[in-house]
Amino acid sequence: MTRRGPRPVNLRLRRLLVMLPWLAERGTVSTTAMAEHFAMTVPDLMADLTLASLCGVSQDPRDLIDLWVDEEAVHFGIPKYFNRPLRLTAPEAFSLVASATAARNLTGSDLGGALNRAVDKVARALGIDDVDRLVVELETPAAVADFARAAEAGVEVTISHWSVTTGDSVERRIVPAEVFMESDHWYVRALDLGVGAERTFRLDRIESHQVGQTRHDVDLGPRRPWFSDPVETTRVTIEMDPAWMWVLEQYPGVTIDEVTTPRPQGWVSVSMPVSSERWLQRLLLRLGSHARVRAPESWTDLASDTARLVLTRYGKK
Amino acid sequence: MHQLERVTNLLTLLLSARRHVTFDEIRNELRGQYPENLVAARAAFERDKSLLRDEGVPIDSVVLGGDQAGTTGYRILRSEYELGDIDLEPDEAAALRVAVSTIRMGQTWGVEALWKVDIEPGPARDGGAAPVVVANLPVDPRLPLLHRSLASRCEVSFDYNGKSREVRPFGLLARDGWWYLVGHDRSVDELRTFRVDRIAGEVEVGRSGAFTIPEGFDVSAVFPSDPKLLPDNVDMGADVAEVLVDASDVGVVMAQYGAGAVVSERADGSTVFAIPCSNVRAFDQWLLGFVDRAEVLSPPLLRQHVVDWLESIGARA
Repeated sequence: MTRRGPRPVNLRLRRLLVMLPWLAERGTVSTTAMAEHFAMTVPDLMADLTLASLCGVSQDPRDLIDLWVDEEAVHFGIPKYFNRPLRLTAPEAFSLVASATAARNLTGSDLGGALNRAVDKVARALGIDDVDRLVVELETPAAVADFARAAEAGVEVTISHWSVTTGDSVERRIVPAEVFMESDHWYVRALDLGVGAERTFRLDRIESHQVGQTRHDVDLGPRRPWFSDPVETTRVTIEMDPAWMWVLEQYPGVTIDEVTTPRPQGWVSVSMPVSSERWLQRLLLRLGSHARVRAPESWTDLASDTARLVLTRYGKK
Repeated sequence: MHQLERVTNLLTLLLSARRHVTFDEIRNELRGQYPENLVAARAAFERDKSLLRDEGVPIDSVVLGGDQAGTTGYRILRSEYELGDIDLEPDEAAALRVAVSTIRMGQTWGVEALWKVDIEPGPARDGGAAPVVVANLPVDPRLPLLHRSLASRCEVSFDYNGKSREVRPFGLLARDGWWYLVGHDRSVDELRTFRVDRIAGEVEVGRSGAFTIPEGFDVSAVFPSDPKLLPDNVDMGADVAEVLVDASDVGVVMAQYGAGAVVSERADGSTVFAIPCSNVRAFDQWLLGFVDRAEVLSPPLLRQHVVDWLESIGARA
């Protein structure tokens, strides 16, 4: 078992300044409930609150923060210093406004009026007079709501899914667990009943879907990082012009785990996992002459072979 | 003494102060908490102040007069420190909670903000169940500062594409997986759009209230909805390309552009679509994703451009 290091002072202070007014509002709270609310362990909570109980403008007990902790609960007496939370920091304000603005775009969201009112109140408190200057555009296809409802109900959905690898559409029966958006694409993570395993499908490649009635008890656990299954991936080393790194940035989950010292012409060497040859073909065509595969050897000619294949469509050999 | 205890004491002292207090007075009040050595004590005090300011605590400092002339006094105004009453109704607080748990930005900013604004006693948080719809928004550490500058009408300056820019921010837009800053670039006296992650280095912020945003300015409206519509100064002789797509991939293009983009259908199921191509680079990235299952038919210059691109890959091999 690894032992974690000490918690940074800034994080402990940040948490303390929000916990004290929260506690002042409530008077007495169970240590377990409070630790859960603030995503801390009970020992960490007790350590921070015990320390806080020794703080004040002087060491006169009448000047100390009026709280005490026993085994079961935290008790707060007379508020002296931290009656209200610290104002929102710039990152907190941005995050709140951006999240709320984005959530208003979600199809099927029934937050509607309550969220609008909440955003207006928060903006007023922050002195922001026009929240509309920050716009988050989330295109949510209608299917998002269908798959979300299916995930909540645990019912299976029959989909016709187009495979980018084969170019064919295949019918599958899935039980959705989560619908998520990453790098501007929506995906449904589901149990594929045909293979009895978790699969993720891009929504814009699902040509049709039919929500069924049959319920399944599915618990896929938290989402794993993209390409986390080593059986399904191959590690590729590409040398490329760093000015074209933006092409890689478009792919969700591409983790560039190594960029080495620049090559003589200023290129860099990038190592990354690749899920299929077809996927790599598309990437190499998009990078054009600005990249070349160095390893594995079986793919060093993949770019030129693929380019020649496409050129036949244009009457070239 | 632990720094957290000392800095909490310093915070209670500055919040309780009825006038600005000097470092010597602080050291006297917090006797035994700062090192005996004056230089070490000063360094520790500077670290504490910096920690508080980094956490958003507004420490006001002034150079005093009278018998303390030339020394700096410090104080925290409670009105500046405290978050005002937001008075969220239960449904508004719940809507904000859902928004923050649904829209993720890879940071804890949103959760920390919720702890602050959702301070009123209310029902316990909903059992910790993961939401079935999650959207991941890109994040950049400079976004909060740009957002605050926008709200406060502060000019910002930064380096972009190798040039120094002085920009009056008019709006922030999240679209297609990227954040954009739209504003008046004083260096060229024109409206400009900047992708936030491509801003080089730090953003400098000028004084607040430096400008007004033109009446009716709409950040979404000034920004084309499809990246392939963004001009990139390469004239291909037309803004719309005719692209022949194999039957296997017609469903995908139909989902992207709709039946209105269909120019003609062929007997084998392949279809000719009209696709925007003002931004040739964005068009290339889209087209090459189909590998050999799509072909540009017109305009001729664009078709030749694609051939040249593919031949450059073969030539380099």
